[in-house]
Amino acid sequence: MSTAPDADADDRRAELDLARRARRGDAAAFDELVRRFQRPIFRFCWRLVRSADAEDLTQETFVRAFVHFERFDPERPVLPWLVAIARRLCWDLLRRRGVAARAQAMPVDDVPMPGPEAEASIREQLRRLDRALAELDEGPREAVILFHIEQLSYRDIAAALEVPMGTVMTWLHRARAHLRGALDSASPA
Amino acid sequence: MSRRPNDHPNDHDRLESLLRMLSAPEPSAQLASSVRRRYLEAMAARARREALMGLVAALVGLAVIAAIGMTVSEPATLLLWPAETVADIARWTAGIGVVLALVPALAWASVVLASAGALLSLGLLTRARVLATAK
Repeated sequence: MSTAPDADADDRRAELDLARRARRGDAAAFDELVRRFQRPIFRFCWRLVRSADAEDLTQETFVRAFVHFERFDPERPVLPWLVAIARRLCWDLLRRRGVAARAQAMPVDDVPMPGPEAEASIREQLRRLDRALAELDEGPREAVILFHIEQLSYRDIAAALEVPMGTVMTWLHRARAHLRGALDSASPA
Repeated sequence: MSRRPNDHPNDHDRLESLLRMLSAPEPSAQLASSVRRRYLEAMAARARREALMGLVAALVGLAVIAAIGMTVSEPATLLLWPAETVADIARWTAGIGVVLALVPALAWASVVLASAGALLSLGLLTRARVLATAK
């Protein structure tokens, strides 16, 4: 019977094999990698740039990743490596355009609500949370997105953001305190 | 362990559930096909770049060899060797031409037929021996 770490190791080996094949020009392997990772990469890009550019950035991430595969470290899983490429592309775009994407509000109107009585309260909390998230520095913000929303491990986040694991933990601790503060200030006494 | 009905989720759970409620759009259905097209274009461009780099490397290598050759031997020697080779080839071609012109065509035809017959006989003999050894 296989255990969870064994399954993880198998997954990583399979991903690495796909990545190597994609590097050699195997379009089917490339398609499989895109199928597996397009959603988290697109959403990560979208949360950073908050515009339709996220789609183009996602495409560019995959192309750069597997055409310049020689820079890939086989000790690292594929997703954090893709995230590292995506975030560099996103920040390059934002710097070039001088856009403060964080100032743009997230659309909260299409969020499904549990009931009409809770709707106004939750929408208000989400608006505050989104604003508070946008106020965070880039590192803590990315750490929150990757840990709480995309559910990556500390190790994978450290690999994606190219910082030590302790820094990720510190960023998350501070970011959570900031976000909780923003929510508490919205809560009725 | 299950949570009691009157328990409230702690701050961490509340924050996490709210963060997950922050909406984000889904990638479009065309993303996969667009990225595939870009990947194939990039791979083709990489192949062209690698071929070009190989050609440039070969030319540089040849230039280096030529430069070394020029420094090791006299330039006159380098020119003399191809000139002698060309003259030798011309002499051999002229000689063969003279022989062909002197010997009548009938003699050449009989030589060719005799050679073909001898080769065919040798081939058949070898085959017969191989079959005999196999039995």
